[in-house]
Amino acid sequence: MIVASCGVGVQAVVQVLDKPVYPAANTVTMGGLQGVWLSEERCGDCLLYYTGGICPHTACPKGLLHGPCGGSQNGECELEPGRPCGWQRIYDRLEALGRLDLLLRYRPPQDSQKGLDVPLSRRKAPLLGPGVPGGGINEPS
Amino acid sequence: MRKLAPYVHAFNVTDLQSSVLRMSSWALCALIKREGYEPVLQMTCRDRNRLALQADLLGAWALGIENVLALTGDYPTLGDHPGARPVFDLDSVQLLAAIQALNEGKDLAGNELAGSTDFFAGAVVNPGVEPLGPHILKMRLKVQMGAKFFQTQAVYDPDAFLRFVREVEDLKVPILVGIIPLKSARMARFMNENIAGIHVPEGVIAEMERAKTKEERKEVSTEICARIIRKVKPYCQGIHLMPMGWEDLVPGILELAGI
Ligand code: SF4
Repeated sequence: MIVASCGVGVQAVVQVLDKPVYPAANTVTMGGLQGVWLSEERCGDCLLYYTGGICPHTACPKGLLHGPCGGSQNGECELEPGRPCGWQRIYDRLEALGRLDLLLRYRPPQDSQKGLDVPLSRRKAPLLGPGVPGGGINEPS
Repeated sequence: MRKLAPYVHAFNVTDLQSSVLRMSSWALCALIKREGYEPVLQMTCRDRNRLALQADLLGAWALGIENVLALTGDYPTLGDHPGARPVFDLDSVQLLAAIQALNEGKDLAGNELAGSTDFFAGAVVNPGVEPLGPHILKMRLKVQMGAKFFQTQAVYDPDAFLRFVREVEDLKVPILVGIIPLKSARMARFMNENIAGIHVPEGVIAEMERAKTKEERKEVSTEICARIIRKVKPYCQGIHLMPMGWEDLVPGILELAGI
């Protein structure tokens, strides 16, 4: 199933479907018409394909991208009792989909400029790019 | 430190362990280096973004520090500045990638550096957690990203450790087993309840309970540590002792363990 909405929509579909769900859109800005989702957060670097449709930024308080921290036990997050560990959920989901191989892939650090309307991957060099003093961007992957 | 030096190969310096304020890890490592000993620089992703982490790595290298241990880091709420902003700009795997990049004369953004570092990078794993699956996958990824050795969470149950070792044997990566001397039965119970991956068996807690005075507890604790070390020794490549104030036990533990 392909979902062409922002990550919130992708994750909503994941919760009700047992099939692989793929994001078709990369939410880079909240400009334009806004629905009921009022948060400022969107990262423009959608990872949901690699994480079984569960967002590691919202499901894991540390926002880890490569599996659980050492505090994840019995499916619980180390932060507070009863809180599910986001990475255990991602692991379980990918295991059920037969895609644990996705967790052996390296993901480069993401663009953190959440307050800007144009994400790094779309910003033009040489404003900020390799070879420019103080510049350097990660290749969009 | 001088007293312990004849017994150990290196000193681990934690990076604000449990999110409690301490001197910078790299600074203490530099002091240890100046004394002529070998430090292991622990670096977490909790307090520094990718720029600061790389800057500190370059600085550490300039100060002669060669061993780095990459960790995620505890959440700030655990420590003495619970309202501090958690950073986690990189995770431990990306920190390993940063170390690898610097070793190749580049930074994380791909810019060429004037020189390169030659860090010996390590990582951590918690062999006592259930379910182990996700932790083992992450360990494999860490090896792919340049981890040359692993240090573990404290082990009290050698059988559980052996089960873990069998799952990662194929990685052929050196593992240093974490050993924390128990100070009391209460400490053991506290860790069982609050620290992921730590399981002190009831029999061991009972042993600690029987010891009444501090001296007796130190003696029993030494025996327990030595016993665990003897059991795991054939399956690991080293021991990481974390005496937490009971440094005076180190020589006795190692002697009794036959190291
Ligand atoms: S326990 Fe799981 S959800 Fe909690 S911080 Fe660690 S990896 Fe993230």
